[in-house]
Amino acid sequence: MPHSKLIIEDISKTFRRDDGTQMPVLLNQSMEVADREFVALLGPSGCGKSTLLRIINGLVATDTGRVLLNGKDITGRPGEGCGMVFQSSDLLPWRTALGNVEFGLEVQGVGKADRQRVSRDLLRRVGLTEFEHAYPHQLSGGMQQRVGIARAFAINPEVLLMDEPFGALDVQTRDDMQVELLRLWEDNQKTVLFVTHGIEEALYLADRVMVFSPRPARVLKVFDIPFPRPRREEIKTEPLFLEMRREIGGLLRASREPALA
Amino acid sequence: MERQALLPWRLAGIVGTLVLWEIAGRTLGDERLAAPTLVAVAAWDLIAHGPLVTELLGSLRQLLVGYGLACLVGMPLGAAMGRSRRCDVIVHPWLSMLVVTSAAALVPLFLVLFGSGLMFRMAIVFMASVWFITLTTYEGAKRIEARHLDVARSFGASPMQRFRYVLLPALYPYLLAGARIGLIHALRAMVMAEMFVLVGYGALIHQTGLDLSTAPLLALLVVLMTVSLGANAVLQRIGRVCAPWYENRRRAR
Ligand SMILES: Nc1ncnc2c1ncn2[C@@H]1O[C@H](COP(=O)(O)OP(=O)(O)O)[C@@H](O)[C@H]1O
Ligand SMILES: [Mg+2]
Repeated sequence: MPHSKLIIEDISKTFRRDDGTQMPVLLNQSMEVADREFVALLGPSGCGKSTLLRIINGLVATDTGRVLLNGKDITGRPGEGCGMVFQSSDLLPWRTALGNVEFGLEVQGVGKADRQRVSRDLLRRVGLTEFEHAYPHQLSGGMQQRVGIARAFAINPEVLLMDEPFGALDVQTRDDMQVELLRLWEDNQKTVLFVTHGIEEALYLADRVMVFSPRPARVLKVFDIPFPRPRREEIKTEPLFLEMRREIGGLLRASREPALA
Repeated sequence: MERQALLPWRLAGIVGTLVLWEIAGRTLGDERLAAPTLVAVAAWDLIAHGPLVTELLGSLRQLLVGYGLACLVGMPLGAAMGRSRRCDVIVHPWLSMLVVTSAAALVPLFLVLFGSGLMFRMAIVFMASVWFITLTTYEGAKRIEARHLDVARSFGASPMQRFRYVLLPALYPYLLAGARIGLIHALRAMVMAEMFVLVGYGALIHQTGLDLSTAPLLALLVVLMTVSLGANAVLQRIGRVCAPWYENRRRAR
């Protein structure tokens, strides 16, 4: 990897529990992500994936190490080139779909006409043109997450951070959203860190899958995903896909075993 | 739909009560309980020829000062308490005590402190409403969701922008609810205080109570209730227009 877009260097995080004991969540994690690479971070729930993403975004302070974007230190500085799609979309309930997509641009001080043009275009691309005046509570879960994705794309971030964006959706909607996300991404390729606990989702979407251990999270193994782009849904039934799926499944199970005993 | 189906019942309730009141009024005689027909005539008379409108407007003007101050103090104070643990522990004990204290109990002390003029009435109105406004705002500030603040931070919002784009809109329904509760308490305290020092609308009620007929007295009360309800409805309407997400969300549940 000659040109790393994003470098994560030696990140550790320990939370303090309510009873005062220490809970290590991340231990000396490092990784490099190339420009326009789609990386899936796959791990059991509660292992520390969200924490890692929030540290990269600058929402959570790291105990050690640093985060570099294009060689520039962005540790602990939100709004510096990273756009986040949150787990449960977390739209602002007092803003319409359009207003939510505009949010990041408004914070950056972009004029109203410009930000509405960008936001309308994105809403169109996620198929929500007719819903621009709808409030979040009037939208289905899938629609809300589409708005969440459009909101992150609106600021045209260098790195897109996605925290289990489809985790709360039903299977059918999730499959549709995966296809849609790839279409959007192939139009406007960005560096993506996509957190998930779905093996199939990771394999279908990513160029590279990093499999994490249970807490404290560390990378167990990295898989390069050989399937060509644009991805077709049919690959999900190819022997190689199923083989990788089995292998990752076994890896996750094995890492869980000590905890079960 | 629901509302429309209930409309006949609502009307029946009002008409039924008026009929019962009319019967009771005619039985007891208007020196004890004037019938609604007499009250309506008296109300018209007071509004058209009497001092009702002047006294009411005068009282409301003074009320607005005390109530406005209560909003200016209570809203920021409640928000600060909800967002800062330290502020909360300092103010909360006093807030808890003062919010349960009847404004009438403060009258003797306030008469000593402020005399019986404008300051006294303003202080009573202020004290009667400020703690409800503070408490309601406080509840709202406590309920502001960390995830919404995280979204704002994630997009690089400065503290000022987080205040403007997240805290204020999230607080908005609570500010309006506090304003409504505060206004009701302010109106009640206003009349009560005025009856102690015999000025304004309160004095009018007091003096009219000495009349032979109870019709003008009841008319004054009905007008007061109507004004209170009207003020409440106006604030509610403002809330609906300015915060459509809030009302709809509650109805959707
Ligand atoms: N702010 C916090 N304070 C204390 N504990 C936290 C905090 N955030 C996360 N945790 C804990 O850290 C662990 C990892 O959380 P998280 O990163 O959300 O896991 P994942 O996203 O992989 O499911 C969990 O046990 C969680 O309870
Ligand atoms: Mg998570």
